[in-house]
Amino acid sequence: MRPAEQWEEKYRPSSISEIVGNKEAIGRLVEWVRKWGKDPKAKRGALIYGPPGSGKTVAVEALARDLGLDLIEVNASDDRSKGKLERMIGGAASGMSILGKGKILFLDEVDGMSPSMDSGAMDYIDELLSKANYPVILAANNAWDPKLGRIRQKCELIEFKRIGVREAVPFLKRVAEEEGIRADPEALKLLAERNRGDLRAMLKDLQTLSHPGGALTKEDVQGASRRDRTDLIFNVLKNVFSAKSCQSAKIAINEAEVDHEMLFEWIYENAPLWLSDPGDLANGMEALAKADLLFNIAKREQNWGLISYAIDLMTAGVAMAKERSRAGWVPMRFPERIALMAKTRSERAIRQRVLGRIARRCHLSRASASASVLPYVLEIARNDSKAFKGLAEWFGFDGEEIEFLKSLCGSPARRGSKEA
Amino acid sequence: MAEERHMMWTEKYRPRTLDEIRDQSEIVSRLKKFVEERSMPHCLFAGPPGTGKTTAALCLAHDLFGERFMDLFMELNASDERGIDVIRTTVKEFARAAAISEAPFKILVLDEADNMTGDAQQALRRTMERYTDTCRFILCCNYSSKIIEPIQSRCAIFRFSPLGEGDVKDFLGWIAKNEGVDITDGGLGAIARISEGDLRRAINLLQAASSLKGEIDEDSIHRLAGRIEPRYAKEILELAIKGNFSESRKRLRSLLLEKGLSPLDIIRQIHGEIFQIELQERDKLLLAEMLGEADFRISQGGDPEVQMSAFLAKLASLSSRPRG
Ligand SMILES: Nc1ncnc2c1ncn2[C@@H]1O[C@H](COP(=O)(O)OP(=O)(O)O)[C@@H](O)[C@H]1O
Ligand SMILES: Nc1ncnc2c1ncn2[C@@H]1O[C@H](COP(=O)(O)OP(=O)(O)O)[C@@H](O)[C@H]1O
Ligand SMILES: [Mg+2]
Ligand SMILES: [Mg+2]
Repeated sequence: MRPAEQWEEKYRPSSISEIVGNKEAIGRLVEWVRKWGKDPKAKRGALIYGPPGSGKTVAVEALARDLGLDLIEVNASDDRSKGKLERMIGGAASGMSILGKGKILFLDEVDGMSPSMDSGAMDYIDELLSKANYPVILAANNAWDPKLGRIRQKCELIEFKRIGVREAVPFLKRVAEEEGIRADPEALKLLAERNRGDLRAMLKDLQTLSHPGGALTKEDVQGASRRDRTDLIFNVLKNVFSAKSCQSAKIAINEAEVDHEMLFEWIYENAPLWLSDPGDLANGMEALAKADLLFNIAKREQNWGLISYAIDLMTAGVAMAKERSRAGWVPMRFPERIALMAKTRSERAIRQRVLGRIARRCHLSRASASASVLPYVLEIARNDSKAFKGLAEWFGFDGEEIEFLKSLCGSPARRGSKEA
Repeated sequence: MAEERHMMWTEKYRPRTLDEIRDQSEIVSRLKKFVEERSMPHCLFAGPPGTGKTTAALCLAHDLFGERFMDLFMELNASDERGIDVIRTTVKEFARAAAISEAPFKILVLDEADNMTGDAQQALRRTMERYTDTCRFILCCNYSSKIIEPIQSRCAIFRFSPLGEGDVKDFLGWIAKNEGVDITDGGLGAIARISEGDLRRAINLLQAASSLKGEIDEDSIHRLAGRIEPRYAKEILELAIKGNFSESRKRLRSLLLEKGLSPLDIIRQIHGEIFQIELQERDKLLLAEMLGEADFRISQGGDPEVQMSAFLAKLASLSSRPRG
């Protein structure tokens, strides 16, 4: 089955008039672009900033289209070292437009750049802002990120606000109508509120919670919190696994609302689905094994500095392992190990108790007891219940422990006493 | 007739004094000298499982201390208490308190010491130096190489070897007679062969066999051993070789979590199989190296399933490569 088209793409505005919210900010941006190069006192760049899903990227794309300008775009999924940036936009920035159309240089998600890894990139952007022959627009979630210090000086700051519920609901209503969904207005309102001004997230929720031709009730939305989180993780995983650069793999996990250990489990569970090529998988698993070791040493020795290397390995290490694997969408699943651990927790505790008793009696560690005594005791239990009873007494097993051991023997086990 | 009391035969027939220990005659005579002279150095007992290391430590203490054994002897399994905390507290407490009155020293056995972390071994080394006057240490391990050099150099090293097949068979025959087990000579021979000089395994197999009905022969021993020690590793390896990594990992997961097998045991089983896999020789070597790495990382705190999965993924990739 082919996955359905994502609504965030399907309903992506193609002109400024279709954009929801932030009218004033977008107006300022258009104005700034129009006047660019004409007013010597005006700033050379624009930095638009605001929370995810507030429409920064779509605004710039729509603007370019409306004004008939070429859009040269670089975002976080690209490798943004200085050299790469130069190659991608260097020519465009300096080239003249005697024949061609005008251009906009757009550097999206600049706060996602790491000062150390995208080395020299900040300097390059700084330089670009002074020299480029075209308007340079930067976008970020947080304009006050220290990394952006110098750059911020040279930019016109334009804030994008969260999309208000009153603006969002009519938009969601239109989409629902288009998709043939009978949506309760209360449901749409709740959906908008819960996503706190993130229009992309609202569209995603609307798509996952409804069926074509079906209804969407308030209860549907209320009951969805678990699925939301899972959906978020799916997305994070997708970004990690399909990242083209180390840095973008690493920052992909910033959005995940779960801790690193849980995230590790998700990646570890799903890596075989993404890395379909055996060689790729071997490399990916090796990176994960190294990450695991670092996590555990970090915890044991309280050496938290090691965690960041572990994260590199579990994100970039896995992303870079993908060389020959099939591209494309794959299903993802909840880490089975977590479920199994929860299911077997009480049994494992009883087991440890049993092994402790054997260990003490036989001068062994619990691990050795498990390997070199327990299997024999079980065999005796299968064959001769009287002998097992005697041994259980000698070991000092309690009722629960005896029941546990019997359950390990398998069903047709109890052939009765040998002496019977 | 004496009342029949059930217990593990390994304990029932465990030697109580050095004289009762079988084979290992050179080791026994050196240890007996310690008893005569009432003095001994720190000792390291190294050798495969079931060859009498723990037994020898117990017997030595017994022969030295007699009645006062209980007060002067302590046994700690370093595999279960492998952290540095135990060394700092329990071991130090015991080692520090002076031996009572006329006893020359106390003995502390650290059994299965090869699983101690490096830190714990360093801490142990200092404790050993500091309290040599009051306490002698006996470390038991399978591989002396896993004990840090400074500890090794402070110990007299005793290397235990696997018991000979004939000796094992004799001993088993004696126990079988004593316990009234109905087993053929072929059956005894089969146990002796299967257990490869590991007397614990041999005795446990005999005891398990005794729970079967009727006469026990070579055949029934083989079936018994197959039930008790199934070759889990083989199944996991076969799945990986067929390229089905996910199934292989799932099976491994179930062995660890549902069956509760010890990771090191699975690794040991796998190790026994890898050179038999159909692969180019240098790939086999690569696998051995990776398995060793997994073993090492687990000993450093790595998660067993994750570490072994890396190995299985490598195996799957090597097997999927066109041969030529
Ligand atoms: N103001 C908006 N009007 C219409 N659609 C929007 C708006 N904001 C976001 N979207 C939808 O959400 C998606 C992501 O928006 P985007 O511009 O990338 O957000 P940002 O740049 O703030 O992270 C777009 O594909 C679009 O479908
Ligand atoms: N050399 C031996 N002589 C007599 N019995 C032995 C000898 N080695 C092992 N055994 C028997 O095997 C069992 C395990 O021996 P143990 O000393 O605990 O082995 P390990 O070398 O693993 O510490 C004991 O119960 C004992 O009965
Ligand atoms: Mg964006
Ligand atoms: Mg032992």
